Amino acid sequence: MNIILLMIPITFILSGGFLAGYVWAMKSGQFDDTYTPAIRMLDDKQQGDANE
Amino acid sequence: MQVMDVMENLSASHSFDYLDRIEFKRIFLNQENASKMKFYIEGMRCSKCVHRIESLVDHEPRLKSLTVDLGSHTAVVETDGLSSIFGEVASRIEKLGFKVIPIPWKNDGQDQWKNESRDALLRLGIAGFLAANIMMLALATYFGDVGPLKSYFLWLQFFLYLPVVGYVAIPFYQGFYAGIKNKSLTIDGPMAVASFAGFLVSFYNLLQGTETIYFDSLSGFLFLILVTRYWQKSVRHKYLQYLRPSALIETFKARKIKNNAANGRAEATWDWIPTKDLKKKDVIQVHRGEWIPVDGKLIDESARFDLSVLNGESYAHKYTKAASVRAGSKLISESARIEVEAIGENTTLGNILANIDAQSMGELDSIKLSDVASQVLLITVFSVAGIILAYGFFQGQFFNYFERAFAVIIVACPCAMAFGTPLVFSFSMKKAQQLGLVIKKISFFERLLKVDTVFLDKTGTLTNGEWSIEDESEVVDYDKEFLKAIILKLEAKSMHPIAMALRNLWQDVNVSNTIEFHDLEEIKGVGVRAWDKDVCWSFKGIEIQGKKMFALFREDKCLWCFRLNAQVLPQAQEIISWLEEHNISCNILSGDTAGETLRVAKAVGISADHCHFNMTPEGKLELLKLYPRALMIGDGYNDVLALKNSFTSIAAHGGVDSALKTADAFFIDSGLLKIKDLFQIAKMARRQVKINLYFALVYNAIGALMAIFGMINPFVAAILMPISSSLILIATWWGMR
Repeated sequence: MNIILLMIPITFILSGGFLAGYVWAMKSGQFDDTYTPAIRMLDDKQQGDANE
Repeated sequence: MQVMDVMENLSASHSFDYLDRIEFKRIFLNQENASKMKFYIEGMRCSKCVHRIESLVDHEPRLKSLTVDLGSHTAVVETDGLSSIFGEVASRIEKLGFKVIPIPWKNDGQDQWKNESRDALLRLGIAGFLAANIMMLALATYFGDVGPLKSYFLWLQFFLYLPVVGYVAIPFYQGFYAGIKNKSLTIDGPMAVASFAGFLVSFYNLLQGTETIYFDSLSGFLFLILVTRYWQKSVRHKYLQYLRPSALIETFKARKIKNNAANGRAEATWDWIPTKDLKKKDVIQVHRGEWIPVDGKLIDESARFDLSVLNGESYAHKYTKAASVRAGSKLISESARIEVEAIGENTTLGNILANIDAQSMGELDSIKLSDVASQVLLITVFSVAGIILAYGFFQGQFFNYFERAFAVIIVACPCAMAFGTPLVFSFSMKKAQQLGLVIKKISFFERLLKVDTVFLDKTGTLTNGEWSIEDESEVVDYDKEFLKAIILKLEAKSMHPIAMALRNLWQDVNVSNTIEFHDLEEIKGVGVRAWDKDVCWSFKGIEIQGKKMFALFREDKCLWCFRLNAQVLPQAQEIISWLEEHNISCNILSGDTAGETLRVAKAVGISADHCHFNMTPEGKLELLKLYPRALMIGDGYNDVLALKNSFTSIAAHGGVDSALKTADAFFIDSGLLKIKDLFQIAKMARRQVKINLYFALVYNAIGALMAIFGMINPFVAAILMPISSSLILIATWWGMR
């Protein structure tokens, strides 16, 4: 039973880590545009051209 | 987290006085119309919110208009120009429970929308994290044999629920508070009460050692509601964008050349893609009669364009390689390739469209209807919930019945109903935009269906702007090409429609080897004349046997005379008979002579008693007053009075800028052809609005009944709520495709 005392903190650390990762991704704008990245590979242009 | 709360508190209390300071206004006001300012409004959810904000105008005489766009969450405030009351308006909107952020006029609020979305996503993520952990712990207490650890599990749930009640539920408290302050029913109220009361009850039970604890279901429920709201907001943003007139230039499709531009034109292949997906330096191909949806550079050696959409002057402009062409120009030559330089609102045309006054949905009859319907529904739902609660109270099963009442409120929330109607009109706008039609007022669709009489201007509307020469006299002593060149020289500076027509007709005539005239003059209503040393040349209109002819004179001798025949639009007859079949009587309104008007009328199948000729602009106006449900189709220049004062109107050609000041709609593409489609779109919209309303009513009624009899708990209700919105979206998309 004592193992639970160890596992519960681990649960929080793990899920808290995921939450932190999510918050970081959100703040750095990774969810701002969920449409373009999916179709970007269909664009014929090379990456270099786009930055001209 | 804390920082954000502090920010929210600050903005809720701060004063908007700075909005009326001159330094601020210099940057934020509309540069062309200094009585307009734009706000981004946070916290809008349905057309009811729009209605509440827009109704501020009714109580404030100094406010000329206030229009809210539900898709982009922006509002345009227009004062009467005498008083600066932007600060006051902003704080009054905040009092209604929204957050106001002033944005510069040119800004579309995208950044603010992004910020609002990020806030929502943050809340959503934290809610999900807490709910998942609470539910996991709850699962253990439900099923597991945790023995003495059970109370730890319960206390852990309690601590995890603290941020739910203290942070995640904040929007519901705010909505509840604003609802109380404005004495209006909101769905936020029950949610705020449930999450807080549930917390208190569970906490009390926890201290008492009883196991009736709601942390798991409440946090899961709040998470689901937040997901739904976020999803609904994204859907609105995506599907209501076509309500802006400037969406036209983004949704219009263009041919993007796929292979290398250096290849010959014959092998060029292209994709049809929406203009908004074009990038700088892409190459598009345009064919004869099409208009260009981008600003760009001409790649071909030369091409001829008609700029009438931009400046109202209908004649060919010749462009050579690398010349800049502007969106809205119509190609007259065979085909042209254009390198994209600017798209969307950055183009000249896009800029014009973006400056058209924002549209208010409030004036739509069907919006009013669905607002009333949702209001009635909301009141009914809350009364039913109240009855259930009272019943439960007397039965001594308050908590069981509270759950039922709560489920009724969640499942029967009229969100889908309030969303359906704007959605239909957004789809209608998109369809109209794909036809090349700019619509200034959305109410145009509803008005169109009430029309019983159509008045058509003749020149440019029933005729296609192309002319042919008929009944010409014999030419002796001179070369005809030489005479054509002389006429072009004489008409060189004239802006008369005949001059423009001739310039179009004789594009290939070489004018360099003719006489150099001096003292060129135009005599209004007669013609033009000029001098070659002592010899007077003139070109004027004369009447021969009741027909209007044009003649070239050298001194008093007529060298060449002919009649100019405006070509009737080939499809005009079909459209007129279609309109007549649908019990809409068609009339011609023309300033031209009887003979010419009757000729065109005969060609398109309009009977002589429906012809009104020799009409002055004032005469047209007087006539239109007799027909309260008339649709006027004319050009944006000569018919301004008629367009402005008819029941509804379409400008078929002329400059878009001036046309839209008077007409309700403007055809960028050739006018009359798309009328039929337009009527069909309007009918489709009317049908879909009805379908959506009935659907939402039935769905809500069934859901509410099931909730009353305890077949649906609040959790299931929270899942059913977004489903009704998605069904409305799918039904509308299907019905309007």
